[in-house]
Amino acid sequence: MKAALAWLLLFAPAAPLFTDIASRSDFAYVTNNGFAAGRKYFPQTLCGGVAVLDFDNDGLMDLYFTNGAQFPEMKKTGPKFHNALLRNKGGGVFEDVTARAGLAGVGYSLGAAAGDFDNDGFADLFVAGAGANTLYRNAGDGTFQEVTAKSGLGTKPAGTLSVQGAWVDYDHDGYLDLVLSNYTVWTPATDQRCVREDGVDYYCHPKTYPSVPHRLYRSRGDGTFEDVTEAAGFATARGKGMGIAIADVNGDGWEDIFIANDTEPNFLFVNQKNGKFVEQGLALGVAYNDDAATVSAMGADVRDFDNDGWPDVFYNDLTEQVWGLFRNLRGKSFRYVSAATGLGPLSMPFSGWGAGFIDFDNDGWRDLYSANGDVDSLRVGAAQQDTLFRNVEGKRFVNVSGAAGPHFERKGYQRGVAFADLNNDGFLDVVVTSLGRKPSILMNSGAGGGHWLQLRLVGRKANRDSIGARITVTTPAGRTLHDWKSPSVGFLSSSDPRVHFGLGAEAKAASVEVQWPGGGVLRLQDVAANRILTLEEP
Amino acid sequence: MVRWAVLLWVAAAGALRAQAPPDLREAARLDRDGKCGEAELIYRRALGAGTPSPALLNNAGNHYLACGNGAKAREHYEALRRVAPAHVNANLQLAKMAIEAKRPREAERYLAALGANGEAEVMAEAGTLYARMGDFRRAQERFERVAALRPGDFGALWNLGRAAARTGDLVVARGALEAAMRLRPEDAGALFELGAAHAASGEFPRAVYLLAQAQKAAPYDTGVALALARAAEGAGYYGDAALAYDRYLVLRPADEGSRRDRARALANTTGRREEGVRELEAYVKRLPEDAAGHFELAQLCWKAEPERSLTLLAEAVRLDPKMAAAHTARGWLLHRLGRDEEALPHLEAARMISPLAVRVWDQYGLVLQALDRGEEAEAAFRKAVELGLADWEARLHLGRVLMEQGREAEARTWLEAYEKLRPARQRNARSEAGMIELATLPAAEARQRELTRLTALVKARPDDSVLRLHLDKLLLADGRLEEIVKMALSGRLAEAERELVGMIRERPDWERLRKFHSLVVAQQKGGVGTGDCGRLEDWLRAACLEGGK
Repeated sequence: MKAALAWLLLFAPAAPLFTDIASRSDFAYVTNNGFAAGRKYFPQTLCGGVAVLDFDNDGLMDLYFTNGAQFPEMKKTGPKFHNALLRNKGGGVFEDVTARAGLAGVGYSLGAAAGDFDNDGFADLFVAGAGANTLYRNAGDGTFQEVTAKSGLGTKPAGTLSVQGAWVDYDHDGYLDLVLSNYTVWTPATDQRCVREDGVDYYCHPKTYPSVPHRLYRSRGDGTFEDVTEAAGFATARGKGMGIAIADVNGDGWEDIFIANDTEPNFLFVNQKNGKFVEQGLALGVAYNDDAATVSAMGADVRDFDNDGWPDVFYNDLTEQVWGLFRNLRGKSFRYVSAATGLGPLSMPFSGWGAGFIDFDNDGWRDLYSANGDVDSLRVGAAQQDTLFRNVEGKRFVNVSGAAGPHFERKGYQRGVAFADLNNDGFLDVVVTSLGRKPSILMNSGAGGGHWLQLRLVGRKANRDSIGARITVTTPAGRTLHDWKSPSVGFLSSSDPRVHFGLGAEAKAASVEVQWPGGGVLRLQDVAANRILTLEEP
Repeated sequence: MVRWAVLLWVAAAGALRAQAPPDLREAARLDRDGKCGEAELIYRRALGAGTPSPALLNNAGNHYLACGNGAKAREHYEALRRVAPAHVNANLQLAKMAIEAKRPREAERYLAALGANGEAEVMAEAGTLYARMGDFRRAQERFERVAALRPGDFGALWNLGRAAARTGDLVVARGALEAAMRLRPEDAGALFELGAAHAASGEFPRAVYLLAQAQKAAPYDTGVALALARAAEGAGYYGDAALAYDRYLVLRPADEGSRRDRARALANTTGRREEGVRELEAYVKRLPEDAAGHFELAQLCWKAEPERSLTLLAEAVRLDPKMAAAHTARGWLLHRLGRDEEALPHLEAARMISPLAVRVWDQYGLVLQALDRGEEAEAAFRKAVELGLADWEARLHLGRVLMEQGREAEARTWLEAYEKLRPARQRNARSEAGMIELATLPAAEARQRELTRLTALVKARPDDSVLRLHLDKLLLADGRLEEIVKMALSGRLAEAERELVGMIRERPDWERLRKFHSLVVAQQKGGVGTGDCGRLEDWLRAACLEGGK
């Protein structure tokens, strides 16, 4: 038996291993939702957003974390509630530059979205809040200016609890617009208190609070935005918004928007190409699961998991519910394939929040990472470990968490997660927050992994970030891989702005094609793998 | 039945007294006294004296029936029918004999001769005979006639309710039984039948209430005890159901099936899942040949142990190949595990066994769809939709499969139908015990219990204005204004108190309002409460001014 095990260890193919390197860096950030003891406030279940951005354009991805506030004041009363900007110094070391950058934040911060809204070549930051939302403009000198009021992104109905913003150029005018998922109308004064018979507070059920419309802000191209929620067709759909994922789901060349709703039907806003959207979640099949029921949908991602050229929809949800995976049927509708892909038994034990597709071993199939942990800490099994499900050729998922490193054994209440190649080695790393803890910065060893390509896209007519671009990579063996650029991922988070492809055993791409939103197309032939390419819109 | 026979006998004897010759009256007396031999002599003499009259044939039939000679009785009733085809007693007695001899067609012929619009007593007897034959539709028609002729007759209403419940005409059943209950509010039979009718309508909470009353009136009735346990389970009162099964099992300890059901209810009770599973496991070990035991255990373990659940379901199917629920559950679970090829035969089997089961067809459609057999899936969903007029799930699935086929307009129709039918919120079952007990408490005690429950809920959800308003209403009705004010001032003022002020204004009960106002003012002066107290006082003052008080 021992000999067999030794043989297995010796000859088993190496697999990527994730190692938490957060302790190598000196930073104070701990995800703090403001709960100390006793009274619980509804937004405390939501905390710890992550945004990946290269704010200083040094080629290394930096990290921004959002944080909570003191209740019921909803103020960042001290450094323990500050948001944090960590500059990537290379070598797996991060430096806390929050104070210098002016990004400590105000109020109870939630989702963070990085994007160059003014096309000046520097990544800016939008932070959604339980109170106010905030827009920070990157001045290009290591500092950020708070430009919320001037931009118009601070406007929303009083008391709206916003969860996440996502950048998208929905009208193809070359400037990033912003879609905002909102949860409810909430203030500390209207917070509902729920108490067990033994006097212990618990977080009230979402149904306690009303649903609200999500919002859409259109960029005027001069650094200001107008609220087009009503005109664009967002006002009539009321939900409890969580994650936002963006892709062209029907192949018409225009970005559509998926919003996961907690205990409400999910929304799929289909772009009508005229500045308007029509909510088509029910018609296209992603509003409900196959039990014809809503779930507590949390994180969301829309990518092509089966490499058929069409983006598929994913959300995670709470324990005993099944995470939802919907296969895109050539843009006409979606089929619920959670059962067919094995996600049912894999996901039922877990309450997932941050999540997304990540090809962690570069085999050309997008796997699934989920940051897990229950809503509250009261139930047995509430603290949970994160999970990594490997995608087996677009057909099934298998749980490989046990072999992915010690992080996947550590139980807690994880929330935001973002994916990024932090050391530019071609393997995607993972950054995840956990309530009451420092974040984990999980470096991917890449052991045994495949070849890769990473694309940094620069728009000219299109928005500079090239959000909405469609990228198709064809390998010499004829495999075709697709992605739609959108860093918005999972829950409260945005990932590496570069587009990553695993190529498996093939050391080059036969062709790479980029279609920018608005029409610009670039085609490259015979592209050697294992490189980060910067591709500019012609 | 006996009651009606006696009535008819007395009626016949009465007729004799009025019309028959003295000899026949004497024969009837002898029959009543059980002196069959002496009576027989008189009848023979009369029958041999020439062509017998209908009355003589009728009495002779009655005589032979009373004296245990069914063949001779039948012979005389048949002779009577030849001269008087619609003769009431002859047809009723012949129908009764035919039923006892298991000749239902013959019985039907006799009963049909009586028509459907006869006198109340005749229709009541005919209805009873139809019910004995299992023809509840005709029984219901007869009892409807009786109830129409005798609206205040408890028996007529009770019989109508029972018959209608068995034809599935639950609206009529409930109406008749409610009327019966008004006549005899504590009649265990009526409470039981009404409770059962509500349970059959899916109105389980009301059924629990009625059956709990029935059990109070008939504590040793096993039928009531079992119906109560099942209704409580149907209502989602799992804790109550487990207790009700316990009570039933004291009366019928040998009913192993109910022991199994008790374990299931226990497993669904908050905090007692493991206990229930253990009991079910013990049951399966004790009675391994009971397919239902394997099935129930499989239902409880599929989330944590899907493979074990599949094994249990396989065993259930092996033991009872006709158990549609086990086939469906196994097909459902295999589908959920992505094993659609394996799921298909089970759902096909279930479809054959239960061709009218909506969920079977719906699940069958999902499996076919997963296997890319879209047209067959569509047909299965259509069947489910046809069978389940209010089934929203099948409508969603049909809409989705039509979308996949590019038939968008038609798909949208079904998807919209789904949205209309889908309940806004799932039923919130109460898994802890207490509802049955509450239903059997005296009104005052039940009210106090409700007050205690609401007070606890308000404590748990202090900012829930709806709960506060419910509690305030109860307190207001009891005149317990001090408690309302104390609650209003104990924290942030809930909207509930403002609504309450509105309610008092609407009545208007100025005295109560003034008292409420003065209490608030007194509390405020005493430094009790928060700043919101001023707002409450303002509302109250405005209300008093408005009322000119």
